[in-house]
Amino acid sequence: MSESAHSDCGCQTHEGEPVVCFEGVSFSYGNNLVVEDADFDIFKGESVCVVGPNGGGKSTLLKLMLGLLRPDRGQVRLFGQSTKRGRARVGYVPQQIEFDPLFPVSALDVALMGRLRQGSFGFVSKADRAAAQQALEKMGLAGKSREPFASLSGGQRQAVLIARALVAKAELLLLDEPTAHVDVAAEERLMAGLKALGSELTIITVSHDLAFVSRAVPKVVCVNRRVHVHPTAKLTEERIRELYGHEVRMVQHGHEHLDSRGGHRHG
Amino acid sequence: MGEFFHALSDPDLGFLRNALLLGMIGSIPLGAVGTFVVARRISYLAAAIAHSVLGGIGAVLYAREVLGWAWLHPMLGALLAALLSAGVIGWVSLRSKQREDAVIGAIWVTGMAIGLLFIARTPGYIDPMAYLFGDILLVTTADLWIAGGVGALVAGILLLWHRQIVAVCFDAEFAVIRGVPADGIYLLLLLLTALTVVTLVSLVGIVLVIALLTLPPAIASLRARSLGQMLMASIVLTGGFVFFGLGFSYSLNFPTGPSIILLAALVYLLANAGNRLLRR
Repeated sequence: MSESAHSDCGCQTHEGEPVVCFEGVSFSYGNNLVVEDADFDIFKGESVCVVGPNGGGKSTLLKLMLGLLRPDRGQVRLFGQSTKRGRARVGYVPQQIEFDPLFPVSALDVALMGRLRQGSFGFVSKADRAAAQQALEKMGLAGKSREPFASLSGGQRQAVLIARALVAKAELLLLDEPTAHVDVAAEERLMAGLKALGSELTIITVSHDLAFVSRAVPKVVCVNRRVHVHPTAKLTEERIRELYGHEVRMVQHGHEHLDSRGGHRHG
Repeated sequence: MGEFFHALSDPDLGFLRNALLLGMIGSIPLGAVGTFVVARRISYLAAAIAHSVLGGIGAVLYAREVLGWAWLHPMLGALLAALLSAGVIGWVSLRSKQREDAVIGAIWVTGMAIGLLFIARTPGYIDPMAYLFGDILLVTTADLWIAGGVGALVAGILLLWHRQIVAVCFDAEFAVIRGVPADGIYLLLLLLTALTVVTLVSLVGIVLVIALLTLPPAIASLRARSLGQMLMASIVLTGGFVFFGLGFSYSLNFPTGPSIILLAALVYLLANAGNRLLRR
């Protein structure tokens, strides 16, 4: 794609090529339109949250970014390249993975998966091992690298999956609901850890937790089939009601937390 | 078992040595591939591949008798049938999101039906039971060569790509993002499974080989702390089951295939029970 084509796609206040560029992207599962005409850019160093009701298309949007799904219309570019080429520079942290608890892999084995490259062979280099070990240490798992992945707690598994994404030398980090399975303290640690990774890194986080969003990031991507991008400050109660299609209840958990109940489901 | 050791050195009982040698060689691909079959939970697919092998064996037996292709070894037919059904099953399991189990079940029985029809039309008496449940007298030197070749191939492929295979078994989506061709690796695993089940078909048969593929890794997984440990333990267990199963069958004059499998099943039950007691 030429440079001039890039200037057409949305936000123009940033210099340089967008890290993520959606151009008129629509996607449906069968007859069910999940993402409609999404048009937005995300630039280097930005921290962005993707919010919206269940089934609104948040995970679909991530899968489109990763090239795991192909848009019916429009195109998605990563670092100005096709998603298939660009995703080598992406670290992806899934919400949770379905794995066999009897599958005997250690935390270090899982982190090492982040060092796989196209065309690489089965040998683990010293550099691979050191990088994986370092990423685990960074996530507070220094002493756990030999532990079986299945024996770790939910929060620790999440940390291993983040370490796996980090060792890929990611320039873009995609996190799918990183706070879904951890407590408030772990969430704070996670956010502090992510912030410490530096301003070069672009981070896109899918979240249900609107309080988390308002504290953590300056920009939100609202997804409910249509995709709108705006500063977090503009995420007013009215806007949230519009997005979720119903009232969003305040629930006190010791920290301020907006909880969404019900909502539409689009598959 | 004393008689068994004695018999192994008897020059007239070469078939017994062949059977033991086949079991020892075959335990390498069986334990290694079985580890991934169990970890990836595709035992059902492996069973379908193993059963459809009868189609290839039947076709070769027919070709030998009716077309005069005496040079064609039944195990070559088995290998071809296994690879073909692994390809079809892999394609169905990757492409069709619905009714995968029904289609795989259909391939399972279609292969067997084809084999039985060919056998029915082949002149002379052939007992399909020998192929279904194994017959120690069916073991030939060709089996040893096939098992050796498959063992070397499996070991080579695992050495080169074990990280990729492990990554795909653990989390295929992430592997794809890291540039690993997950569908290709999955198909490779199925093809290796196909080659592997054929290696011991003559010894334990089409129906029983699947137990020898899955029980040792299932036992090993109870205690193994790494995939490497699970794989090595599976190979040793498979070799042990063949050795002692063969010994019991010779001493007690039992059919070999069922003896080996029953031993594996018993150890599996005991290991599970023991593991539960230890956890209390």
